[in-house]
Amino acid sequence: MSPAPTCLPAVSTLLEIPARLARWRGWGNTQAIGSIVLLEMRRRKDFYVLFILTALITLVLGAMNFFNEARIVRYLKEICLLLIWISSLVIAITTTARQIPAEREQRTVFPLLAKPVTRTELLLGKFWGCWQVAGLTLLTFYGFFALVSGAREHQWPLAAYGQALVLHWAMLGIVIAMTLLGSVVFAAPSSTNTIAFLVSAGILMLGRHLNHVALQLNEPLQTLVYAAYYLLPHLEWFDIRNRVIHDWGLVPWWAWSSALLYAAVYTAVFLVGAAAWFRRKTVL
Amino acid sequence: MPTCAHLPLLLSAAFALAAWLEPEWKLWSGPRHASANLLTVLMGDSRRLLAAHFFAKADAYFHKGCYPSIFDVNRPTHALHPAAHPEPEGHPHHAHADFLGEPRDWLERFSRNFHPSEHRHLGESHPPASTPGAEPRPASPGLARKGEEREILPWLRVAADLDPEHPETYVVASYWLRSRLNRVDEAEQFLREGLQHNPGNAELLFELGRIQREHRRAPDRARNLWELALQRWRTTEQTKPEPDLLLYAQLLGNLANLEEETAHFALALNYVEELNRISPNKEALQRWADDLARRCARSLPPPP
Amino acid sequence: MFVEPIVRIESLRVEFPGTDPGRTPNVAVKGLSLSIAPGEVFGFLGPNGAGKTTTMNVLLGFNNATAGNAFLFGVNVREPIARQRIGYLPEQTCYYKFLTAEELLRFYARIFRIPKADVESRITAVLRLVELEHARGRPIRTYSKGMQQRVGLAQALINNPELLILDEPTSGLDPLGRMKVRQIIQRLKAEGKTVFFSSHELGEVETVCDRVAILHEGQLKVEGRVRDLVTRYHGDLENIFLQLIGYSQPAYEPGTHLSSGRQHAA
Repeated sequence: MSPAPTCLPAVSTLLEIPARLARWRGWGNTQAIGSIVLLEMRRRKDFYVLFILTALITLVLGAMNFFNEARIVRYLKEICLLLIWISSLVIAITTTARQIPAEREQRTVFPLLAKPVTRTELLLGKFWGCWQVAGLTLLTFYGFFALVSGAREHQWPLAAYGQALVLHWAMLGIVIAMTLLGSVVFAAPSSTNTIAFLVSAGILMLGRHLNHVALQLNEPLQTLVYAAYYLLPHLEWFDIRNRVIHDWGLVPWWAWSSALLYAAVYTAVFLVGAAAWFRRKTVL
Repeated sequence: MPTCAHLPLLLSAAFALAAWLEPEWKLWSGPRHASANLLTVLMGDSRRLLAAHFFAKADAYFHKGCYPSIFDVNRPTHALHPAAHPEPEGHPHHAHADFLGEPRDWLERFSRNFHPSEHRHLGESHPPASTPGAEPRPASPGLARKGEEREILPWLRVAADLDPEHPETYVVASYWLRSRLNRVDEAEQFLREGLQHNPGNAELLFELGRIQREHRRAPDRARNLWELALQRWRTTEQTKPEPDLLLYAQLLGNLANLEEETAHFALALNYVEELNRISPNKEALQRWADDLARRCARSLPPPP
Repeated sequence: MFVEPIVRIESLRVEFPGTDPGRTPNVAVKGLSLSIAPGEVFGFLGPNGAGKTTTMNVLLGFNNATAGNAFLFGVNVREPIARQRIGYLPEQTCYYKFLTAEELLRFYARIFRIPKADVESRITAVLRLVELEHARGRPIRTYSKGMQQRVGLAQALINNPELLILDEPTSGLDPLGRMKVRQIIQRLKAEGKTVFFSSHELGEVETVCDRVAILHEGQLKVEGRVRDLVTRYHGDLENIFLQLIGYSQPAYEPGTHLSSGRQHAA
């Protein structure tokens, strides 16, 4: 009889991870704190206002007539996706930026930390909640987008939309973790909001071109810009709007998976930074 | 008290109301709307910048979203209007040159998986053969590639609304409407709208003439329009240090063709000789002129 | 027989960085040692700035001690698990105002990993105890201050704690609210819970507490049973308190009124 394959224990360990995670006390706390963020989102008006605004603008623009051509759709897809990107960034950044400062300002952090909850769990819970909020927002908005574009062009490239949604969600994970780090460092949510918006928009617009910019600079600026190019999270990779709008088909799955891994690494880096900073900081 | 959260709702309501009232307002305002445009007053000259942006956007759409940014070193030097002066079949403009060049590093190479980075045009279902490493893609089901050019039209419409004094926008839109989308009426109407804003513009008159000749089969109207365009070109362009010789050549060539077809060989000969003075292709034109001169001398009847 | 104290503080010293140019540290607590036995109601007294809240913050893990140690149930307060069996009511009511009392309690029940089958009955029981059962579905932001304070007590009791830490639980409440909170503490005492609370209301402390400690400028001035202190110092708790913190009453001159005093000053 042949011996059992050596990889079996490793596989069984992997399979045990969800069960272990469920048993881990911190995961329970993280989920509980995340559920409060979700409840807060349900009771605030931000999401509803932005969704109505996006839907209204898209529908009004969709009703416009250009040279009696009823099948024009790409401008509508572009505007709808642009509004989705803006709305999702606004929701993700503003929701995240106010979490920790509001806990401190309204002193809700005291009864919470007086329970068996660590500061790291509090941060993880906030991240998990904000990321869930971002995910639900994207599901709603992309659902609307699929309806509008499908009604116009009578095709449903669901795999491409799914790829775009998941990449977008992963990108928001990086942005949320980065904003959370900012909210721990800066006391005022307004500072965090402004910095997070500037950094995200800056990377989205310029991240891809930093290497070209560096070439036109003298030393030591060239090295600095190159370093930024390699160190900054390339959020623009996660923006595949042009592929979706212009019907370029799916991103190769290996590239898609690598981008998700890349997002996970950056999210983890920002979260570890935020946790380290928050542990040192007095909550009083 | 209304909070900041209500502001976007209020704005969207205002936006919807404005879009609904706009046609009514045009009716009420009568001829005044031609002279007093609220958009012009509010935006000032910044509307020209926006119009230029949307015009470029139309070109980006023509390239299916693959478009060089100001940072791309290998930026093509062609004008941003591929449709304005379409080249013959088999010789597409700038010969499918790779706009973006070779990736500089592994990050850039990887990033090209996420945005359109192959030089393709609307209506094409496969990447050009010259694009290195590109694999042919099947056309996506459901959406016919034919007529895909319509996607650039909204941006041209908006560009024209923002800067109606830019005749090129009307010419480009008209080209796509009449030649690829078979919407001759809309093309003519749009060109006439352009003429209202740019009275007697030679480029617009020339394009209108093409519609009359190629689609309406009305050579007399085409002749009138082109002669008027030629006259306007001479009064406006000839005095310039760098006149638009391409338009001049197109006018002369088309007029010569038209006159030849209608057996006015003497007139056609005049146009060809005038064209020969500015054209680099002198030999071919000389042969055409000689032929016309012979036919003029023999007074041959016009070809059927 | 030796009974392990529920709260044990040993030579606790807490310093905060100074704000003066020389950066002289501010010492909030100087060498405090205390222990509280199970089932005791312990009153922690002292004027403002005496170090009461700082001591409580160390017990709850909000502040770290500069020197010394603190233990809850024999576990160092730095370990989160030390807080599994305690309930805490902060001085100011501070709860997620967009939640209802029921949602808030459900959230904290989840944190304490109370089994799902028991959560409903536990929520009902604590809301009944604090007399808020009728308002369980209302958002907390619509509650009066007294009701918010009682929600605070309810959340402190959701895990059926063995130790309750209450930071001035009756401050800012009207007489009726104060009485209700006092009744709840007495009921908890009857149930055998250990209560550690700070207060300015000396009369209240006298009626509720088994033992008290008086803190002044970070130092423990006195500690003992209320009965013993009253006997030792020949007066009520208020006189003892004033005496220990070195407060001397200004001489009262007959015929002097606040208004005439002000006129005199003018």
